[in-house]
Amino acid sequence: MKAFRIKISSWTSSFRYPNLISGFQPTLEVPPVSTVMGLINAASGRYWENREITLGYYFSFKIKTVDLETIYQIKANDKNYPEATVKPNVIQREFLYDCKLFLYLTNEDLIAAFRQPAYQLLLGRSGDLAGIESIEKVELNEVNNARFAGQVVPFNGNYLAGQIQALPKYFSNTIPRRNLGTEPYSVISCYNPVQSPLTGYRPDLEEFDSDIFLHKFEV
Amino acid sequence: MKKLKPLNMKQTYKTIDYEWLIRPTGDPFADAGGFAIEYLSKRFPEKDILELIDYVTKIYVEKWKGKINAFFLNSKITQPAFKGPKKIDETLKYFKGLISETELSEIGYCRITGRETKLFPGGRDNSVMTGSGTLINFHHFFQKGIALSREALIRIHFVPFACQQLQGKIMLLQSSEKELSKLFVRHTVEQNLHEIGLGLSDGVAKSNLNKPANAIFGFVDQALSQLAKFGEGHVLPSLTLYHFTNFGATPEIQLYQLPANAFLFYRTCMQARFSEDWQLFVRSHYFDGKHKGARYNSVSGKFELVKSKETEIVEPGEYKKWTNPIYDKLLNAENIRRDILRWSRKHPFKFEIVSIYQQNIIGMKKETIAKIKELAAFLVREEDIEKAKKRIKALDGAKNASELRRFLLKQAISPNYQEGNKNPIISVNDYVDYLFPDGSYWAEIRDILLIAVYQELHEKDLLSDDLELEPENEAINE
Repeated sequence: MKAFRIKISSWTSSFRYPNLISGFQPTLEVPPVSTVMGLINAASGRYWENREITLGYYFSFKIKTVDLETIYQIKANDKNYPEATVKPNVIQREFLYDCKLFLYLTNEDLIAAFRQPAYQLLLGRSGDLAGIESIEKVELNEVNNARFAGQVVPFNGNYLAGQIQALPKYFSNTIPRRNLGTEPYSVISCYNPVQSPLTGYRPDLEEFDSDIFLHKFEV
Repeated sequence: MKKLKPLNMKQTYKTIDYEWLIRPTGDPFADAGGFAIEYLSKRFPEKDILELIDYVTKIYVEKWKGKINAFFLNSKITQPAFKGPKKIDETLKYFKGLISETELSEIGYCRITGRETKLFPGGRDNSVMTGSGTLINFHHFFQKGIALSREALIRIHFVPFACQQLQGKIMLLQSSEKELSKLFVRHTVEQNLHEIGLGLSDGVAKSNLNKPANAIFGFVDQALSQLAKFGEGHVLPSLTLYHFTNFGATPEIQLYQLPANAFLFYRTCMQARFSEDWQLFVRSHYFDGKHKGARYNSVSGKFELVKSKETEIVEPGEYKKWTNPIYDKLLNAENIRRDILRWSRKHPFKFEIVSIYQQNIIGMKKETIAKIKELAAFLVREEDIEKAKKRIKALDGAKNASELRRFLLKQAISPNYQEGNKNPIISVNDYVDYLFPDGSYWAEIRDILLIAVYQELHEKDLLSDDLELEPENEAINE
């Protein structure tokens, strides 16, 4: 299968657990599909909908560590409007350092967006600025009993080891945002590869030791 | 979507999707609550879901005195305004409202189950670690919390019954294998029911292991002994321990992960042919600051602390609560190579364990390990302890890659030729591909070679207690 590989890097990344709010904010070791879809939308400068998406990715990082971060807390007043004053608080945020995302897309319209991104690309939160290192054509060769690392794989029906989390595929273009396609995923770190009975795709341009799981869904 | 075995429960309420009370979602809290519902519904098939809610609510209020603050903040049970029976009444009123749909709701996609259904507000009062509704910038567009289906909220109400106390916080174990997640919940619910039956239950079940790492490996021990498929075969689960409190102003959560390769390594170590060596190694490393100097007695299986007039004996039930650096390191993906080396200087330890560790956890090539083993056999070939001591000293003294290479040249390559052996002990390919490939860490090769040399000496029974082969500052806990 012909595809394009977009190599994106950032100094730092932090991918929050969708429903966890705590004084210690852990990070997932792989971005959810919805984060990658957000990246595609940021590059495109528009919200993609009503089309079929095929994407795969591999995410790696060098280290995971913790930093202190000031957050600003806003309370609501009696009328449920935000109060004018904000209260700072210090929390511990876990983050990933020296991150790489290898994004595989088959749709040329989406690739074009990455040649001249409309908005800044972020791998995680607003401070996690990312840059595009390269865009290359690759051949994805189908392989049986694929070995996966550095990606999320839908849990139901596949049952791969990894950290199991309920993650969305996408968010709606409404106010407020609505999570779409939430289901359990195996979050498979780049450091804990999993041998599977699944079909995967092996890129001919390898900079890592993992096959690629292709996510196919409609947005 | 694959159909689950139907829930064995009186299905009184038509508004509830009973399958979603137990279907795994990926959310650790909702899943634990679902497994608890599944277990309790088997135990009490005459009760419908509201009667089960009533059952656990009465336990929370009457037996546990409402002490579930580590889960819910200002809930109908934990808020101080409600006293005694009112806590129960208000809780049941809330869940009746969810079921009859008189509680405020909207249509949308549940944040946990992903279904499009009626959603109800989820905050710190009815869900775990989801943020306070007071601080409105914690959610999209100043929403007060997350929106959850009634099934998710019902499941979460059962979470306290499916979790254990550990170090003053709450522990929940989740696995990629449903049977393991269920086993944890089943043990916890059974412990609760047992203690309630005895009149001893005054709060969330307490773990008898006091550290997250000990709790995970203790649980794996249980799983290996109770669920045959995890002791052998190809099933390789991962485990995640959630250690949290949703209490007051300081909600905190820490995650500990045991990946599948670490599970495989541990499972292998617990097999009959390795378990004696492995358990002696691990148990000897338990440590507690209040019992400094305690030594593990491998015969009695207890720790002994010699005091001025008497010897204090520490039973397994007590010392298994102590810190265990080996478990900690395995869980934190830190290397235990140096610990094994320190241990090997005095104790026999099957080199196969080291080999499996290096291959499965560290990712060393099996050819590298085979070459190191061959080199070790060559270095102690004469059964002459004095020569072996000199080689160990020289190998121990290698402080950088070039010194290690010089050692191999002087102690292996050159003598191999001098002895007239036809084949090289280290070929160019061995050297380039296996011993010193790009990215390899020379000290790792040195340490594994030292471990292999020590094991050769142990096998040949050349080591004795009076031999001083241990460098300074490498004391072990035995």
